[in-house]
Amino acid sequence: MSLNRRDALQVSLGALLCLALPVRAQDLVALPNVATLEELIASFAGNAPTADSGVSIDMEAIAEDGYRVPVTIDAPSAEEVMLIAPGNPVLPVLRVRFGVLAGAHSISTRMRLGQSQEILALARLPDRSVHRGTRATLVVVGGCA
Amino acid sequence: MATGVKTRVKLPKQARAGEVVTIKTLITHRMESGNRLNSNGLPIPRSIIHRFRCEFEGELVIELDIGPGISTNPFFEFQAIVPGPGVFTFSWFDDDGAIYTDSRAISVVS
Repeated sequence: MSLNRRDALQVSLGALLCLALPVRAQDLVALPNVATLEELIASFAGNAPTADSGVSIDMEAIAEDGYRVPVTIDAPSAEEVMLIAPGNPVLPVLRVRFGVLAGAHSISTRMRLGQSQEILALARLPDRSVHRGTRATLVVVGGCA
Repeated sequence: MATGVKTRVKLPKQARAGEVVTIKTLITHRMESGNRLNSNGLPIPRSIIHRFRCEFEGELVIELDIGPGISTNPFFEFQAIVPGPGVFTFSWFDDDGAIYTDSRAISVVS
């Protein structure tokens, strides 16, 4: 195998890109640490109107321990879902992308809640329409310092 | 946080082709939110699992972007379609650059 100048340049440029990528990639995929509720909704929904149906949040009305609050989001036929806790220091909690092999489009996890608040879930359908669901919860012991 | 990280995955060992199965995953991780202060009043730097991905034979099942609002030892339960026999792979991406992986094979009965 012979290596000419063009190959050598491409390889070294590629290597440089790879070095630069991990930091960038992390910035791009991770949820923003500082963002207002309006910014989050705008970045997720764009200009699409949001309908108050199609997403359900299953969660206890009274959360004894704000450090671990079980929550289930069910968004049939959604391709992407975002869970937001407006009363937490960092608002975006989770963003979900359902792949082709996702079964029921639902996810269960345990989240932290800093104070009593109304949790918000946004779901985007393949036709670009956005649906929202909310759920108020009373937090006895706050889980964010 | 690179020590003592353990992943746990629970799913059936076999299913019928096309069946939807429930998958439960957990990783032991502190999920340091970055909002807490240490005893000297200085902020403790954020150190969380910020991404999780589940694939079946190269096809995406689910991908999660995770914020500091997810509890210590992140737990996720979701559903996956089993098109045939194969292997589910799971990856957790740590803020410190570490990637933790796990996999489970599933067989198909008629």
